[in-house]
Amino acid sequence: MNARVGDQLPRWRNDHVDPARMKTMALLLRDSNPIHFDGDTVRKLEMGDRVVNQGPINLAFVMRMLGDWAGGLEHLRRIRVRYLGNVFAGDAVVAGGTVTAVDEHGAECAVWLEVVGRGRVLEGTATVAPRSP
Amino acid sequence: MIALETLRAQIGRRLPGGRFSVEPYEDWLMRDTVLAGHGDDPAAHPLWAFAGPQAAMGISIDELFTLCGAKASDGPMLGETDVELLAPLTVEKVYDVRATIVDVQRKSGARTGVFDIVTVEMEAATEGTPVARLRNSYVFPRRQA
Repeated sequence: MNARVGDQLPRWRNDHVDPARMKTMALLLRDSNPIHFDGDTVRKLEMGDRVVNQGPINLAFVMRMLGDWAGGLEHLRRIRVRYLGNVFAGDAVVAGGTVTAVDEHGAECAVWLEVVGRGRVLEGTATVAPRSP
Repeated sequence: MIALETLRAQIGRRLPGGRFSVEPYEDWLMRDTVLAGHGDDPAAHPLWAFAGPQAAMGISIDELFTLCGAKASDGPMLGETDVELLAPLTVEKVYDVRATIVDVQRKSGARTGVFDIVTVEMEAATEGTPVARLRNSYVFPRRQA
């Protein structure tokens, strides 16, 4: 990793958030919240008519962007995020970030996830540092 | 709506905790679900530092909602997540989880109405050595009847 303060991290894009993956994630997380798989519940809650992507999937999209940049997910040391809004089935999302600090151990980054055309839905910070195998 | 005093009484409550391990097929599914690709990485995907402790905190997400005076159909959401990876998680390794409710806040907004934020801290350890820490804030909308 050869990072400098101000470097923009290469963006990572997903053109279609897939509702089928939300069903798998509901099982992996043991999360019964129906807004991730039941459109009727989403409508009853007046949240629209598309199921809502799990926050951890949005977080993992940012991890993917960081891992691509750092040369592997194993170099991710810490990530802190605020969930600002929902990502819905069918949305296109872009993850990105900026290097905010560098020392001999690694880099601190500001990170975000944006829904194309609707703005940021996740913001936070991440620490990335090379880790030996 | 649950009384704030009742909810705040949960601060400091230690959840039962538990154990988790990640089977290779589960890691495959996780990577597939989050579009992480399938390389020859021996480590489990870092999102397991979220999924594993949350699943092994000793109560289900539904039970956590009940403890907080809510149910899944009320539309609870994640507010914030802080994942610290002290070491990569490994598939087929057993991790012990400790979990504690550490904070409760009641807030209100013109658009959102009243909502509560409950924060849970979790730690995953193997052979007594912590490998991951997770701090999750859950947001509970309190819709008026």
